[in-house]
Amino acid sequence: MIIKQEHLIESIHSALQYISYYHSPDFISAMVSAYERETSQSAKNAIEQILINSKMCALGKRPICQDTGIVNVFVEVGMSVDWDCELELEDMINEGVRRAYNEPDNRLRASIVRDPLFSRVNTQDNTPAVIHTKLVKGDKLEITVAAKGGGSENKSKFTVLNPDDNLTDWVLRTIPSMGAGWCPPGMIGIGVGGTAEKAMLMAKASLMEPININDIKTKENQSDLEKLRIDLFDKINELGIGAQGLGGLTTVLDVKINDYPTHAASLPVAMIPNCASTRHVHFSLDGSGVAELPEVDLSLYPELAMDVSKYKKVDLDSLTQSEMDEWNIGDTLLLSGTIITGRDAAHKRLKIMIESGEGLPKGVNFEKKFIYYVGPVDAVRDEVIGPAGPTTST
Amino acid sequence: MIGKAERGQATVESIKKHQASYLIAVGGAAYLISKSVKKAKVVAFEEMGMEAIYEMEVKDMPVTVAVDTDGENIHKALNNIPLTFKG
Repeated sequence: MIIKQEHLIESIHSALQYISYYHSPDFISAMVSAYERETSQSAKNAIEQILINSKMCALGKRPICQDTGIVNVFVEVGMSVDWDCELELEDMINEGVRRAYNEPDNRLRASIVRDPLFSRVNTQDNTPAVIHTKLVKGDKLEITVAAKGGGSENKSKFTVLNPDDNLTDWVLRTIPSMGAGWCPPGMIGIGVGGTAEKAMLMAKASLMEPININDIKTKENQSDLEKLRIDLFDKINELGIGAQGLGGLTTVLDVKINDYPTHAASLPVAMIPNCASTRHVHFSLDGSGVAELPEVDLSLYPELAMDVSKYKKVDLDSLTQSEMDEWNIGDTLLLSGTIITGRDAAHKRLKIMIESGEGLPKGVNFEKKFIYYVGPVDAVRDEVIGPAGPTTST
Repeated sequence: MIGKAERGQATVESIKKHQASYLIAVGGAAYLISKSVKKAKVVAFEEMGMEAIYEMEVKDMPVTVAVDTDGENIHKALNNIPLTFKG
């Protein structure tokens, strides 16, 4: 089959737009069942917001998370594929990324900086993607596109265990050290064996598979790897970290493990979490046109609405110290009034300005103001602002 | 402060000392939260894109108290999970 350049570029473009606002059906179902089971009220509120947000995004075609991610692409190229293209594979994919992130009706946040150790200048179009290519039999392209958030990617772990060390011990020791910045409930992907880089790649690839832990639990003749997945799934959830670290029953919706033969002296282990905004889609290109992406079934969502009577209304513009002293951890509030935003680079720059005696920039006044750690998506259409959730504040 | 996930011990102590509060919004509820923003303008560092400083007027923005003015910390349990857990 002949793969045309424009078909590949447009397919990447539409897949990235698609995953910015659609959770996959397996993920929605797993989150709904976590919601139904949850007994911790704080965690249940958080999952409720995640589900309401997810449905709003599906309807409004706007990003699930303000961090619209770094693009990860796994490409399987059939060795009999013929190409009708000018660009090389990675350039075609990056052109698709460029179009997707600058789509006028649903602009996504450009989060990629070049020159990571030094200038860290934003590339403005979220390129380049991180692309993994494998040659396989056949005459098609099989492509998985993911947009991975920085909060969860930052909590990735790698170690080389001794061959007789216990993997479960390492995982259960390591997960609490990752805190809640990876936005649980989500998934844990583990790669075991091969070499250092192979383990990392397997961990990431495992996160592209659909959630199926409940199918595995009920099936007969489980493999050793499946038994290990179930054991880890149950024990990680027993740690009680819960949604957003608020305690409760569900920290992970699934645990994936991919393995590969390794050196007799080694047991490389990589672990990568994926957040509540797990976003990926798979499609095939056979030369007949642009990829067709699955329809989304909105009936998967339960009818949910936030019960605002559980929340305490707070007027930030007249808030007093004694009013704030009455707040207790776990209280849910509805804030109204003026706040100031700022995230990593802004904090760093403010610190330098204050230390140098220059003071705060003109027009910025933090006095008696809450600062919100956020890097929003730019507004489109008639929006005041694009999606604007919190960033990790650890 | 309004953010996401746990704070370090030094920050929790500083919050207590200054009688401040740390509130968390839900990571993964970005679009929902954005609907509570009624006005937004960039007030500094516009050239830094997503890192710019905005002043926002919010109405009924949902948050949870994670560290209160007494230094109580909702994520304390995370720090207390035994690091030598045997599976």
